[in-house]
Amino acid sequence: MRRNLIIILMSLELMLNAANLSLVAFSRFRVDPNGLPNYNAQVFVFFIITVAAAEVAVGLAILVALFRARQTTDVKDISALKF
Amino acid sequence: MSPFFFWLFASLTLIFGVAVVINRNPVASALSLVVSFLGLAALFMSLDAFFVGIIQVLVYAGAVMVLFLFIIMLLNLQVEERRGINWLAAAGGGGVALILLVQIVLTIGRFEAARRTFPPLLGSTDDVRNIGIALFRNYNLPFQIIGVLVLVATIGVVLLSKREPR
Repeated sequence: MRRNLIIILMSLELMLNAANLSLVAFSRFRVDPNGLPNYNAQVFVFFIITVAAAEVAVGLAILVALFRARQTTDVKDISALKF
Repeated sequence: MSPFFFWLFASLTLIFGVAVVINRNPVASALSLVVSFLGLAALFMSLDAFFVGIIQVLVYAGAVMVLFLFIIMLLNLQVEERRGINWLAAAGGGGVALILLVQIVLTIGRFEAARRTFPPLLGSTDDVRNIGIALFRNYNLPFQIIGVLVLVATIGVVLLSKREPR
């Protein structure tokens, strides 16, 4: 299991992109009588991209603050709240 | 799009996606993620989603990954030393991915409409205009809320990166 926090954040981005791909595929799947794809899913993808970008910014700010306090990016060292 | 290009970009996305997780060097991981995003943008273009594909390149590969690389350089993250593979965790992760793949294959295999090619779009779609119409007519309130969300994220980032005053 990867314990580096940066790699964990990058894997989060991968997961969000997987959802985006599936949404765009379904948007293209059904063509309405005007000959256009269903754009609701593409609007949703637009929102997901925006929210993911904001979340990455905040997550990396937290990472930097954590690194300044603990000098480590390993999640094993940040276990103060662990049950 | 011809099947050759589909398989090329799909395998590019998948292989470099796996490389993100496996690489011990964080910079190599970030660059593999950039290639993965570009492959994904090509797949979006093949699905006639031109606006979303361009936004993917601009925002994800152009802004988010640049931010990741800035942070990696700022914190000066080193190459991790080689650890032993936790076979139980690897088997668990691989097992979950395999179960998902089997479920997807079975579900789509049973779905008769998946065997045909997509119905063709009439003419050229004015992608940006239609997404703009859908966004500002039907989804105006979520759009404004997203604006507030991005503002809050900006303020939060500035607040989180303040140094303690000595």
